Amino acid sequence: MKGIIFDIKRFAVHDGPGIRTTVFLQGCPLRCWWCHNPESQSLVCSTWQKHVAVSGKIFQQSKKSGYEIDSAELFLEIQRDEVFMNESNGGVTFSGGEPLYQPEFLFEVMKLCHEAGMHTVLDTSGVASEKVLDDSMPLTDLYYFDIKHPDPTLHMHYTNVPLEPILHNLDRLLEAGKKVQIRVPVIPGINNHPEQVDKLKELIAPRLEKIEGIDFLPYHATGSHKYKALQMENRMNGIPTMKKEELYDLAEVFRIMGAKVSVGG
Amino acid sequence: MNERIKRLRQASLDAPNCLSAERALLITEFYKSDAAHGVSSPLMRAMAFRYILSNKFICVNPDELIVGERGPAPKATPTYPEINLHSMKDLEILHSREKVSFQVDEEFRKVYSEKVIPFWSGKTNRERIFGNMTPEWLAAYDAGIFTEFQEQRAPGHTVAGEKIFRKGMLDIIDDIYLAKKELDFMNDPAAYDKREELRAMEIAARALIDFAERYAVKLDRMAQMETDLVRKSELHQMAEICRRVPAHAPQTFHEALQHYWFVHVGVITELNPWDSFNPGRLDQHLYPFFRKEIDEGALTKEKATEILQSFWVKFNNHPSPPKVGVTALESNTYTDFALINLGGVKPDGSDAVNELSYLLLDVIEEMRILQPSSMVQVSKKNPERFLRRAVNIVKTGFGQPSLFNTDAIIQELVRQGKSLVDARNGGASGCVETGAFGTEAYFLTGYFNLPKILELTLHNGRDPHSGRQLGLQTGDPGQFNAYEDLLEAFQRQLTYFIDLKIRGNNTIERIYAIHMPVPFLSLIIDDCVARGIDYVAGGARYNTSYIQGVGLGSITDSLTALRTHVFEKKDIAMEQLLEAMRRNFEGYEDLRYRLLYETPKFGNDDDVADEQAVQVFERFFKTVDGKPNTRGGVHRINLLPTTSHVYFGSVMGAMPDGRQAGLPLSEGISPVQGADVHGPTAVVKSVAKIDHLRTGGTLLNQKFSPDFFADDTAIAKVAALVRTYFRLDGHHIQFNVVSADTLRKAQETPEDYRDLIVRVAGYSDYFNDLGKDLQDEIIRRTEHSEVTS
Repeated sequence: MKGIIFDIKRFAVHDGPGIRTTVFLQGCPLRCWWCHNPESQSLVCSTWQKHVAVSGKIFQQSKKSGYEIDSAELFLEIQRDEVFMNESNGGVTFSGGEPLYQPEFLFEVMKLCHEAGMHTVLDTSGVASEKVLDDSMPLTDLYYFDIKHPDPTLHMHYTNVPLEPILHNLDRLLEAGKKVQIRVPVIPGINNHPEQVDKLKELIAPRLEKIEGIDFLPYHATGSHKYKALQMENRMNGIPTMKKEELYDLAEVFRIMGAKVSVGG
Repeated sequence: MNERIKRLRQASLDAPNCLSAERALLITEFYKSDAAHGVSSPLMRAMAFRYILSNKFICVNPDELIVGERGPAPKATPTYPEINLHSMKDLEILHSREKVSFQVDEEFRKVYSEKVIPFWSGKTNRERIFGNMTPEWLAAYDAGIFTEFQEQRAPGHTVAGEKIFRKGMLDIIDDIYLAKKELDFMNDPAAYDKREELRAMEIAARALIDFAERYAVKLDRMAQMETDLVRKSELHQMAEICRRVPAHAPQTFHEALQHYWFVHVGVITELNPWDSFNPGRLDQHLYPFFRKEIDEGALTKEKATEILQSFWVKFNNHPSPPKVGVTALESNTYTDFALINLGGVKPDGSDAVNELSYLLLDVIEEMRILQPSSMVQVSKKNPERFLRRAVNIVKTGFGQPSLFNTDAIIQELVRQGKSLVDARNGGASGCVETGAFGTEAYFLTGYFNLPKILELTLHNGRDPHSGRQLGLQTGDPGQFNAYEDLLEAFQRQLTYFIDLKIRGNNTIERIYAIHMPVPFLSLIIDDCVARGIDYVAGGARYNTSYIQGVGLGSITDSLTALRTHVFEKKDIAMEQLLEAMRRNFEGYEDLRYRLLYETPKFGNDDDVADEQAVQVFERFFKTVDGKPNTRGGVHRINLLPTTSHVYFGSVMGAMPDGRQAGLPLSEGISPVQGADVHGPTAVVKSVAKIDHLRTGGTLLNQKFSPDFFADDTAIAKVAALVRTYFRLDGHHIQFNVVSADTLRKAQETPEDYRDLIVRVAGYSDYFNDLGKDLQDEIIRRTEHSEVTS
C-alpha cells in the first residue's frame, strides 16, 4: 500500500545504534511549539519552493515535503544501505511526524524490514490507540519515546495533546518488556524550570528500572526559515539554539538518580 | 615527545627550503672527467654515484640519532642536471615564488650559469625524451591530454621489501658474485651487459659502505670534541652503528632504522626517482628487532619511540626536488610521497598488526609533520581496535593516516600475476598505488585526462582550447543518432590517445634503460641482482607501467547529461548544448540549470548515472590493460589525480555536466564537487560499482565535518563505513576533517595557519602551499560536506 513520507536520510548516525537509514513519515497529531519539521504536520503531499542561483540567475526549485510512496518501493530504498547496517549492527529508524499516524503503511514497511532481519527503531510521541501500539510491538526492536513535557496541563498547552494517554502507552510498552529509550527535547523556558525538572524526575523514578536510558535533546532553532516558507506562526521566534553544554547539569540530576543519560542523542 | 625530539622537530620545521649546488657540481665534474668516458652506461652511473658520495659534505645535525643527509644541510635540496636542467629563469621563479619556494643564493646562481648550464645544455635526459617524441605525442602533451612523469624525474615508485632488513651490502655483494658465476657467455647474448650491470652494482654497494664510514669518522671526531658526556657516548655509539650498517645486516632496532636510512639516501642521491622511496611495511620490518630487544631489556618503548621520531624528522628534512620549466602559480608540493604502511597481513596471510603498529600510530599522531606520509592497511583479519585507533588520528584533521583495504590490494596484485606471498608483502605507495614491495618496479607514466577525450570527441577530434586537430575525425556529433554512436566515437579517440601514450612510454623506458640505469636501486629490488638486469631495464621480478585516469566523476556526469538530454529525452539538441559550452553557458543559464539540477549525478547510488562510470571504467581498462611495455611487463590502470585534476580542468572548456571552462575536474574516483547529495553511504555505493580489483589503486576523498568524529560511538560508525567500503572491494578512502570556516580564515590570514595541513588527494599538504585554485576547490568540497552532514 501507499503512504506519505517526507524524507529518507541515509548514514543517519544519531538515530539509534550503528549506521541507519531514517524514514520520516508525514503527519502528526501533535502541534509542538518548537516543532522543527512543521511541514510534516498535516498528512498531505505538498511542495515548497527553494531558490537556487546558477551563474547569477535565480531559479525556483520545487521541493517535495510529503510525497506518496509504495511500501515495497520504500523498502527497496531502505535496502540500499543494508550492507552498511550489516557491518555496523545498524538498521532502520522510523520517525516523523508521528510514524504511528499511518499505522497500516508503517507496519507493512516494518514487516518487510523485520523479515529481512533489520534492526528497527520506532521514534514516537506515544500518541496512538492501544491497538496500534500493540501491533507495533512485535515489529519494533527499540522505541525512542518522547516525553515532551512532564506537566499534564502544560503538555496540553504546548503540544495540543494530553499527557495521560501517552504515559499509559509508555507503561504498556514497559510492561510488555519492550526496550524503550526516553527522549526529552529540552526547550528553554518551557520545560527546563527546576519545577519541571522535579516533575520529570517524579515521572521517571517509578519507571527507572525498566527504561533503557534518557536522551536530552537540546532545542534547535532550525525550523525558523521553514515557518516563514509555510506562512505558519513561529511561536519560538527569537529563541536561540541551545548548546549541548547547557544540558550537562540537567543530565547530571538524572544520572545521580541512576539513569543512563546522554545529551544530544 | 621529549625535549630532544621537540628541538629536532622544530629545527626541521624551521629549516629553510633551499637549493644546494653540491650534487650538480659533483655530477658535472664527474661527467667532465676521463673516468666518465669509454665505460658502459651502468658502470659510469655507478662511478658517478660513488663520486658524489665520496665527495659530498657529511652533515650531522645537533641532537639527531639517525644520520644521513642528501644535501649539505636539512632541506638543502640537490638538483639532477643529467635528468633536467634548471634555467636561470627557473631559479629566479623558484626563489621568488610565493608558494613552495626554494631559496637560491648567489653562489648557486654563479655555479649554475658558469658551470652547470654550459655543460648540460642539450645533454639532459629530458631533452633526449622530448627529442624522441612524435609531433602527435608532443601536441597531445601540450594540450593537456596526458602528462609524462619521466620527463622530470626518474622512474621510481618502488618500496623496500624485507630483504634490506635481512641483508647488509656485503651480503648483497655475495649475491652479485653468485650471479656473476651464473653468467653464460656461451648461450646468453646479454651476458656482457649483465656483467657490466653486476660490476656497477658492486661499485654502488661499496660506495654506500664507504659513505657510512665517512659518517663514522665524522661522528667519532664530533664525539671527541663533545663536552656533554651523554651526547659524547651517543655519538660514539652512532659511529659504531655506521661501521656495522649498511655493510652488515642490522642487529638492533636502532641499526635497522639507520641501515634503512642510508639506503634511502642512496636511492634519492643516485637519481630523483618519483615518490622518493620508502620502507613500506615498517611495523613488520622492525618488529623482530623491537621484540627481541624489548624482551632482552636492551630497549625500552620510550627509547624506541625516540629513535622512530628522530627517523621521522629525517624524511621531513628531504623535500621533493623542484621541477624545471616551473611557473609561479603551478600547484606544487614539498612532499615527496614516502608512504609508511602499517597493519595488513603477514606472508602467511595472518593478522599482521602488532604492538609496534600501535606505537607507530602514536608516533604519527605526535609528530604531525608533512613527511613521511602514513597509511594503515586494514584487512578483515585486523582487529577493530587498530582501525579505530587510526580513525582517532584521522579525526585530528591533518589527513593522516589514510585507510587502505589490504584484501583488495592482495587481489589486485594476484590478478596481475604476482605470487600470493609477494602480494601479501605488498601495499600502497605514493598516493594510493598498489605494489609488491621489494619485488616490483611499477612506473607511473602519466595522468590521462579522460574528460578531455570526450571534449575532443564532441569536436570531431579538434581541441577547442588550442584550435588544433589533435584527435581522429570521428564524425560531427550532431550527426550521431544514438548514444552508442557517441560512445563508439569516444572509444576510437580513447584508443588513439592511449596508444600514442603507450608508444611514448615504451620509448622513454628504453631511454632510461640505456642512458640512466640505477645500479644502486637495483641492489634493493629483487630480482635485479639475480638477473643481472637494472631496475629501469626490467630486472625486477614484476615490471608494470601504469596510466592514471583522471576525472571519472566529471566524464561520468557529462556522459549522463548527453545520454539523458540529447539522446533519450531529446529535450536538448546536440548543437544547442555545444553552443552553450562554447559560450561557457553565458546566456544559457536555464540550460545549465537543467544540466546541474535535472540530470542524474554520479555519487548518489543512482544506477542511471553510475552506469556511465562503469562504462568509462571498462573502456579505459580494456584499452590499457595488458598492452606490453619494454621491460617484460604490461600496462595497467589506476585512478588517481594528485593535483592534476586542477591542471587538466584548466585546459578544458565548459562541459555537458555544467562545469564551466577552466575549473578543476573531479578528483580521484570521487563525485564531482557538490554533486553527491545523499551522504557518504551513497557515495561509497556509487564508487564501488567500478571494479577496483582490476586497478592498481583508486582514490576516494570524503570530507567530514568534525562532529562525525565526536565520540567513540561516532568513531565506531565511521570505522563501520570504512569496513563496508572495503567489503565492497573499495581500495582506499581518506577523510578531510576540517571546517570550511577554518579554511577561509587560513586563506585570509595565512600567517596564522602556517601549520594547517589538509588532505589534498592522496596526500596531505600545507594549506598555505596550495595554489589559490586548489584552496578554493578544497573549501568548496568542505562546505558541501557541512551542508549535507
